[in-house]
Amino acid sequence: MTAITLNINDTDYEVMVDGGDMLVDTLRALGFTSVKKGCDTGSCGVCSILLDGKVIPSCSLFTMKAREHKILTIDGIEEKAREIGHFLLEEGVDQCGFCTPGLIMSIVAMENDLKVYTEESIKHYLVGNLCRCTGYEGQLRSIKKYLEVS
Amino acid sequence: MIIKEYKRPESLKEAYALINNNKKAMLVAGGAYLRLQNREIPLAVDLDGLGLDYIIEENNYLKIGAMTTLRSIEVNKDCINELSGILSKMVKQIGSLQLRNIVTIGGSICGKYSFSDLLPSLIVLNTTLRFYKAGEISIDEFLAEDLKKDILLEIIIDLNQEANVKYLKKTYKEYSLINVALAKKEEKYRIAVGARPGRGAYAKLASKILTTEKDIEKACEILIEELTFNDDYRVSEDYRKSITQSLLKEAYKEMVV
Repeated sequence: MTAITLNINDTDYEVMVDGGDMLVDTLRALGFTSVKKGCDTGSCGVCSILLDGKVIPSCSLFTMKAREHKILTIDGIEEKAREIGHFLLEEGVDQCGFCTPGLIMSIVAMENDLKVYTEESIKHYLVGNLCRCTGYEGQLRSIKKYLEVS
Repeated sequence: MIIKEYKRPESLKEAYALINNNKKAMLVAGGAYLRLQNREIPLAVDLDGLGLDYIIEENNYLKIGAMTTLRSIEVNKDCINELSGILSKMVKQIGSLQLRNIVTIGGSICGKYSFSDLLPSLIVLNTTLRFYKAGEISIDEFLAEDLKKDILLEIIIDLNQEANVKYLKKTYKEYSLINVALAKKEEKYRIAVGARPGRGAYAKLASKILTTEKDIEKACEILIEELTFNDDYRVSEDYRKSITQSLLKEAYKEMVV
């Protein structure tokens, strides 16, 4: 095992990791259970977090690669998460809630990344965030309302 | 996935020594595909932080660092505006955007993946690959040889050519069921087909026919004879052959108009 420092939500954490550890497992072991573990193959997006502002599936990044980067989980953006969550609730698409933290992280990344929103660009951005309750239509309505593009 | 030792060398020289002094050492680019494999790696050598993440245009050549992510390629203005945008087009539906923020072009090339959506485009563009030890070699040579103990540094693409690519997907973010790339440089055509479902391959004879006779029907006939097509759980061999011909015709028509 190797001792490394991870910067999570602006706080440094000293952790012992194995070379093959994936970031999702390290984060959950540290108590960041808001980061969900779904497919574990980089397909479903429920483990999405931001690394230096870019959204990534944390199941597909070796923890070793997260050194010297800024990790942001939904715990680090409580107010914004509540604001976006409110729009999701309004459309009734919180449903089981398992995909919500990952979806919100992708929405936050999208807001930072895109200058203009179209339905197409929103879908393109969020195609990697799967929802087993299939709330896609409602999610799109709420995201548009949140972004004020509807 | 078990990695016994994980090293991030500070120079290419060090990285090269590490992989060559340890038989079972493995290079790690993005690592997203590697992590899906159930194996034990005695030594992983990470190429992060070695300055291989860049896209620059120089004297009408596009130079892409091997550690550049697919998402960076997708949104890069030269990748969007040059070569009819095929570089951006061919990466933008690979997996999810999240995954493309991890996956690198170098890892995609060196894996020589049969499902690669990008490989046929790189083949027809006659891409040059620059390695640490072997220097510059063409992508055709690379695909034919085994260069496991070398480090890919840069992907060099001649922008002074025309290009087009066509593919068929059933859903937005799946890998193509078939993928046909076409490029033209000084009246010389290059055709490549990917997801046959074998690895993307250059169709030498069909390209020659199209160049010398400009007969797209004949080129299509030769193309399906020349390359191997197979069934898999997604589509049949016959379907692939038929779609390949239609896609090539479409790509050619768009190019000559």
